[in-house]
Amino acid sequence: MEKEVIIEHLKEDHPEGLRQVYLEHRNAFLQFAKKYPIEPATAEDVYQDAIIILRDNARRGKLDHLRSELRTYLFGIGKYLIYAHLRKQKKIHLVEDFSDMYQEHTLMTAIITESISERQTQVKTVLEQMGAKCREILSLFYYRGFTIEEITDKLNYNNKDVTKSAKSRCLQSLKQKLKLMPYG
Amino acid sequence: MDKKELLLDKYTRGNLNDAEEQLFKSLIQTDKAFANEVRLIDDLKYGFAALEYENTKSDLKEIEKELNNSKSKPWKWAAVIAILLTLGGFVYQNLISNSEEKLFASYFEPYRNVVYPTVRSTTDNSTMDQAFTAYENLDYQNATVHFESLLREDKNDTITFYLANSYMQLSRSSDALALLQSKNNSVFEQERNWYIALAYLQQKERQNALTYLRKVLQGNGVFMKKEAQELIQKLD
Repeated sequence: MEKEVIIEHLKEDHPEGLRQVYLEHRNAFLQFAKKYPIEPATAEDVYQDAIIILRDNARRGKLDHLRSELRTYLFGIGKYLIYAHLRKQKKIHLVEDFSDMYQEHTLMTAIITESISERQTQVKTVLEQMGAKCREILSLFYYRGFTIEEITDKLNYNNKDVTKSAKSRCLQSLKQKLKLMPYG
Repeated sequence: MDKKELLLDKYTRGNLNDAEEQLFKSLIQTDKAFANEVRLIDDLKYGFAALEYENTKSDLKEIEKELNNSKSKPWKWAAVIAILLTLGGFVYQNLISNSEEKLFASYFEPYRNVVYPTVRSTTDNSTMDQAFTAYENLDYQNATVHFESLLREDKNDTITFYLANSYMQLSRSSDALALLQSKNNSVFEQERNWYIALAYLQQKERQNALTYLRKVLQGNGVFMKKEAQELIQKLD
């Protein structure tokens, strides 16, 4: 499949998009990872994380003008994660030059490579406990960066005023729950 | 929408311009309510991204599980069929016809890239770089495309050799043979003979494979001599 089509599928949450790209490069990646001193189970874990970062970057429009092959880009992310893993285990002594590798620092790479704070755990718990509809609206707005118009479109609301009031109602109830936490 | 709300919205989407960024930073310092809103946005961005991560991770683990299940089922059937074949006395015949494939699989490993060190940068995008990057990433489909286009521009011995290696990885042994036998390549003579032998093996042509393995033994270098000797014994 064309690279552009795959990227479009990832951006638009095509039901098969994630699975397709996962299966397409899986075996090659696991083969590639054998070059490094990591367990097969870790390689699989790293590959999944690389796919998640790939989709996150696609959604952020970072792959819109990708010049390299998708696989090259994906393996770059994978290599970065392997390196982060080895560094954590103190197994790496700069045997290879990593200075020109993928090192884009995003929220998603932070979630994968850094440890989560107590406060962040609490926020996550509150979000998990919200109603599904509210969670979807707020997630589209805060995580995906959708505008009110785009959310109206995606969730089939009648007009943007409906979306706006639903969003502010959800946010209010969320703030209430967060107040119960030590905040600000 | 008032000015502050607009700033917060733009911050959420990550598209503040320089002037807005300045204003944004000074408001965080001076306006406690504003600073709290920003903190809330940061928390929500993080929290939702973390949820997204967990959900996707469990979807991907599910795919992995399916893969393992579908792998184990054919195995069970393969075991049943193997037993039936043994009982029927066909297993001997079966082993013979498979052995070239098995030997090929255990001896064939694409020649490593010793010619062109790949520098993985997003700026260098030459066909040569793409070809060898794909080759190193085991992406032989794309490597083939790029090597073919390089070869059209320049009938280079080295490129010929790596293209043949990529063909073999894709089970296109007749294309590989045609390329490898198209000329005498003095730089890679011993390597060339070894891979011609393996291409013949892939095509189940034992006698031709043996001829080229013997040429490997007669070569001056050490490349694959030990392996060639082993293979000759197994095939003879």
